Amino acid sequence: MIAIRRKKVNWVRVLFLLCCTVIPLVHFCIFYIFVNINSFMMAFQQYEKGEMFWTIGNFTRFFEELANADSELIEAICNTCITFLINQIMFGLSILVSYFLYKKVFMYNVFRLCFFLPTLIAGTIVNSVFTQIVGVSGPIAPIVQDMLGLEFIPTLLRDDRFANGVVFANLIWLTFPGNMIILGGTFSRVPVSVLESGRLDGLNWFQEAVKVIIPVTWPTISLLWILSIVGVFGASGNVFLLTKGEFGTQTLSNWMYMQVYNSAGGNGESNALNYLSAVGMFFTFLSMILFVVIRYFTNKAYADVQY
Amino acid sequence: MKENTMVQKLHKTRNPFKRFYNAYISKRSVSEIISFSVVWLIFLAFACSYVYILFWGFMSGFKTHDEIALHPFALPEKMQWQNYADVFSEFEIAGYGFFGMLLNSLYFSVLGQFITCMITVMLAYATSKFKFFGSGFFYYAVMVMINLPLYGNGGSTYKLLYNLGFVNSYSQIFLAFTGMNMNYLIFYSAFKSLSWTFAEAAYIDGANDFTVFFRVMLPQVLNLFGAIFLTLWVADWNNYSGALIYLTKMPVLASGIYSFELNMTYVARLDILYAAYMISAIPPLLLFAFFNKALTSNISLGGIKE
Repeated sequence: MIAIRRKKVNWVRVLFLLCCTVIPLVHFCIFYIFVNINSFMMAFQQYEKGEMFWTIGNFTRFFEELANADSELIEAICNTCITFLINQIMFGLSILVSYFLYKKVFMYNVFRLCFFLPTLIAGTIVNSVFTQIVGVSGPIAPIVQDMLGLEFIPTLLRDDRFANGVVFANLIWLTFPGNMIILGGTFSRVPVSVLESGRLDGLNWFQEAVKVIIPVTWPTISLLWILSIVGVFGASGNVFLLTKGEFGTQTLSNWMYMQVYNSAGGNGESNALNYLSAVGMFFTFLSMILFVVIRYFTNKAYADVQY
Repeated sequence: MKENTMVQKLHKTRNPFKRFYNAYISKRSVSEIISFSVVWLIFLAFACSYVYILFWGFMSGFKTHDEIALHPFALPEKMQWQNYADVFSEFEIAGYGFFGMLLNSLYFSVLGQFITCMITVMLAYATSKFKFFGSGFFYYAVMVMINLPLYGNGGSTYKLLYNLGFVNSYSQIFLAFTGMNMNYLIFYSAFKSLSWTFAEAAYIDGANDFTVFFRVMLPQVLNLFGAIFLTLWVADWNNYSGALIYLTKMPVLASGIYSFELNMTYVARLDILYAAYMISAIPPLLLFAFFNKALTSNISLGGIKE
């Protein structure tokens, strides 16, 4: 007879691995899997006199709104696309910001501290101050009045002509430092020998950035860039704090947030939330297509990434 | 030898102009000096604007309500120290005073984010260092989660939290019991690059997996753990959006102060509002003052080409 020796089970290890994995797994099942399956089902539900019934009414309403050029959703989609483009430009700019800090521009330590302030201070405070600056008593509104020859000082955030521009300006102002922490951390990992050989070859700062730093750190840059692209429908400035989506400033992300915000306090059985699920489902579907396309074109970039 | 000493002396000179010349001018070409000067001016403009927010907020906290409303950009005529004292006595939202909101903030932001960090680091360690059934699942699930954002599930989340009794409840901290997020990838990368030799030595000495993790492996990523925890804490401390929906009857500082501002139509006290804003900004600012190096130098994501 051949004696089969079974490998002894290391129960302490089993217990350790269970301790490490069970809680996040349960959390994932409840707050990701269940929530999204339920959201999918809510897209096909509506309430009438407290009774729930299954319908495609949410989608019908959504496509009707899409067909109406004056609808809030069309406005939100347009603003989201503009915000996304601004974010892309600011992403490129943030690489340069991190690069110059890495190159130790004069007072770089002070700048690093200052550039961290918008992250440290609550958005509510920052935007409260910003609202005062662009308000009637602030320095900007009278300049706009002079430039356009207006009779009254404009209330920039309460005027359809200016509100969107002000929200975008706020976005540019606050996102200027960009991914300073992650990019700065990655740049600092570039081997000094690579930089020195570049210097010996006579590279100037621009060539060093374009021909050495960016290519060497490309896996990280491409990862951040791809993440920003797939999040296209979540692109939004501080719309909630500045205008609450009024005066032509609505974005998809803020519109979705406002649906839940306006339903807060109820029991969650609301047609607004069901409609939100249907709209969300449509944009999730679009982002899936986007993800597959981007994944196809950037496969190489992903292959280089070492987490 | 003598020449080297001279060079060292030149670099260590106490003359600030010479030090400036050595550090920023002598090693750079003219075009580089011009480009760096332009960049410096732009950086200065942005830096000043960010510092001005703080300055304006603190100054407004020392003004009267009328001064803020009529002359928001003027300096206070007389420093109103009383405003900061009034925050503790007169500031109230949904039955919670300043200290009540502060406790809620500490509970959800500090304890909650510590739990998140701890669960994330344990999950990353287990899945990066041990091969077991399903160990690869977590990595790919996180990759899908961050690459494929799902929109419009806010309603479903609200409904679930309402049915679980988590809305306006301290049990909402269970939301923090997550480990599958972007930071998982950062910890995963850190553990992957750590040598297993120390752990092996500990196992030979008779340590079990818990001991190896808490006493050998975790201390090696403690700087990273601290940096991520502080980042999460600051972000959650300032987060008003979730609390405005899920904690309407037990506000945290960020949402409470915002609600106070919204209620201004009834009680106009801009002086207290800005004093409260500034008091709530002190903890993150202090934290950054003491730990800015840890925050700005320990986090990196992705790789670099070899």
